[in-house]
Amino acid sequence: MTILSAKFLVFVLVALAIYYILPRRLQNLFLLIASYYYYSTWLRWYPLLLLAQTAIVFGLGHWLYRSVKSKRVILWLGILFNVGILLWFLVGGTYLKGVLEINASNARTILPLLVLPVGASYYALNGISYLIDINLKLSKPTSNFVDFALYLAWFPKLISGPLERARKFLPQLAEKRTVDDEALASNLTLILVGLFRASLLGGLLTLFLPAIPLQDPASHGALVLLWALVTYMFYLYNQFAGYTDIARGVSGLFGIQLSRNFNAPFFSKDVSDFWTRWHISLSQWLRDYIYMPVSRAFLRKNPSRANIPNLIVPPLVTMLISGLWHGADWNHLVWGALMGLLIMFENIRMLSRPAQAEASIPLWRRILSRSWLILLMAASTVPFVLDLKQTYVFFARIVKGWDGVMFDLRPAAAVILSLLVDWFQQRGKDELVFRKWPFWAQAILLALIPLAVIVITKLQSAPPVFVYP
Amino acid sequence: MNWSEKRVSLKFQHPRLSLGATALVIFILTCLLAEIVARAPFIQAQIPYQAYGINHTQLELQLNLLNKYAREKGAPDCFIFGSSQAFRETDPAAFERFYETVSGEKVNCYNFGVTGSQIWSTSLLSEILIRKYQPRLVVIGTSFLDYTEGREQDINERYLKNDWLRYQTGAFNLNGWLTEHSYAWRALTILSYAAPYGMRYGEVVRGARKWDGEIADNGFALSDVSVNPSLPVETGFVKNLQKEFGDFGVSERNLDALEHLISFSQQAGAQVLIAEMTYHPALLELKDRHGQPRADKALILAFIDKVNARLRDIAKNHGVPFLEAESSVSIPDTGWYDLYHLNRVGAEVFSEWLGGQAARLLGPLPTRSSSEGN
Repeated sequence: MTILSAKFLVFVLVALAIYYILPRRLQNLFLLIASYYYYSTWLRWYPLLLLAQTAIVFGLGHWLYRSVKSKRVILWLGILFNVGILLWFLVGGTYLKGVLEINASNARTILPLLVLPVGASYYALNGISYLIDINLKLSKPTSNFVDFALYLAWFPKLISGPLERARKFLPQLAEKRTVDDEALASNLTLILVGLFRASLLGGLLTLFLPAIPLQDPASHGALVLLWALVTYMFYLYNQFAGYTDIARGVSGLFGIQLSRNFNAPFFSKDVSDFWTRWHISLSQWLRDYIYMPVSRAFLRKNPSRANIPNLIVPPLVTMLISGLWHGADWNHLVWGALMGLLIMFENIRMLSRPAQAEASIPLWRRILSRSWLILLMAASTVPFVLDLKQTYVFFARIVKGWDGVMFDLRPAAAVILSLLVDWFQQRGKDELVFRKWPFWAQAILLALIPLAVIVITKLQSAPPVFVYP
Repeated sequence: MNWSEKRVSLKFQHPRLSLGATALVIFILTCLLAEIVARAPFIQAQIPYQAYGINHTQLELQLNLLNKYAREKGAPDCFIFGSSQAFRETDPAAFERFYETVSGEKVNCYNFGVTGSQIWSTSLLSEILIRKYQPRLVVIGTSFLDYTEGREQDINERYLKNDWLRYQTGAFNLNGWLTEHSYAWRALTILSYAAPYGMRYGEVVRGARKWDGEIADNGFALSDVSVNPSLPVETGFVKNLQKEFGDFGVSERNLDALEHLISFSQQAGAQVLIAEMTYHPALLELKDRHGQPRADKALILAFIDKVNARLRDIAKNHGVPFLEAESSVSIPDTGWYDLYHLNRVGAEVFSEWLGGQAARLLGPLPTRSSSEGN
């Protein structure tokens, strides 16, 4: 049951109706059951893995909190347990898929044991951060198993995040929650913005098939490939950001706030800034649990600002781990290394050229630097999207393939619309800036966005043309 | 604990109903405007055919032509249902002519043969059209190719998932309802066919234009293409025998569909004729492209015998005639579109024979009340 489906809408409406009827002591339990049901719609056995992982992390959290002498051992046990599950699927599963003879009759039994369950990479990180926070005494383990299980399983964030910290999420479950006019309007606006991004802009970009040239870079010229990459980047952004906005809006309707995950990333001034605006909850997780500890280790030895190893190693390690989290293969590792190198160069450059105040930079230079950044991030995304062989072909074509073939300009409409939405949010310093627009403008948006979503969904619904055999 | 006090609560004091109401009005007005625009002659001129979401060009063109036929000539008295074989082999004009010559009764026939279909999908479409037009005669053009298991799923899935067809069979759904009633929705549907081409609508128009002049107003294929049947041709299904025949089992699902279609037609008050569509004897020589007989020839011949025996039983059980394509129908060598389809020349000969046989075997057709079939 994907978030952009009629089934999900019905599921949410039914869940909301039951939720608001139930007495509070049953509400969290109900949300947990609803979340497990939702997870089971992806694959029936998924909830079992989640439940097992939940029980073990819950137990480890208490053990860690009470332990005096074995804290470090217990913490590493917890980290290795969560990472181990990911490694089993990402590395072991991938290897075994190549070794085992999988056919139509045994695929249903074997494949679920080898393919990473959707959402597993998210609740593994949630489990790790929960244990580290207890170890650092930033939070106490909860004694309420239902609340903890709901923290890992909460259905709006289960599949694609955002990654939440237990210390922010669990108190919300314990407190009295109220959904008033303001919350209702804000969350519905978030859902509408999410629909606009995921269904309309993402859908439009899908219809123009930006990924086609990327699937076969050898057959396309440089200009076509670069444009395909940029439009594909915008497609990824709008799909993911839209999906998160809908998840946050849905969660908000239940009175549970989730963190913002995207903040106009294409208006970033550099790569480091980009990563504070793109998949923010993951970036913050990596910053707090990978970057900072590694950096602190270097700074303990040499607290100087010009500590070169501290400028190089933490970003590289962090982004390599980010790459592995996205996919345990060479191309994701290369992508992580590329990102790490870019941040590293920025760190070193900052030593000689401190950051300039934004207001003092001429507009044309700002536009140029943003455009360059979009292109740079898009180019760095190549190994994220393609395997290494195709990545090489892609860049070879970028260097040699200037054949003058013009790209398809139509997706530019969606790209410009996407940038406009970001611009309004950025300028208004409010992701719900649209609520401040005049009444008529709001009414038109409220009417036309669902209509446009219906149109785009319809356009994507046709079966391929029937070809007489 | 006070249960009601501790409940997570909704507190709405000033819900923005006016905003919602205004948006709803704008939504409805925009939909109405889109419908008016879609009905404008200029827009309709850009649309090659009314689309029903099946994305089967020939089938959807047939539906369009049938609507036009019914508007201009009234509901057909007789339908010829079947696959591409029925589509290419049965010329309603020749059928009508010989039927009238033998029986003295004038009938208007429409050929609703659909390329790629098997009897299950034929049955589904036929039921919808019989219910709508109440014909007096139903000719089911069939052959062993309707009962192979290998291709069963190809087109059936497409039919099963189509909301308009589900709506037509009584399962209400919004998409089906909109497809039936809204020009704007159908315009959007045909636009959606451009999605696999990166939204290049010209490709859809080009696909539709390929059928220009290929289908007569009465639904019959107007092909003049001719092959020399004496040359070894590995054509159509012969190329993909495994895909077509699977394990050489007879599709019980399709046989059930045939029985269902016969019963439904009879209940609707129509006479039924099962007619085996013809194929060239060279087809059964089953040679590969090098002119050598295929190793699985015996299996295929046994399959055909098995199917025909079952068809005879079904026809007998329902009291309807089963006309087997006889070698006495001498199709001229220039009458073959390929080894198992006729072109216009061959179809005329075959349809005249079929019309005459139908008139002899069926007797007078039931009369239709004036309210039916409109």
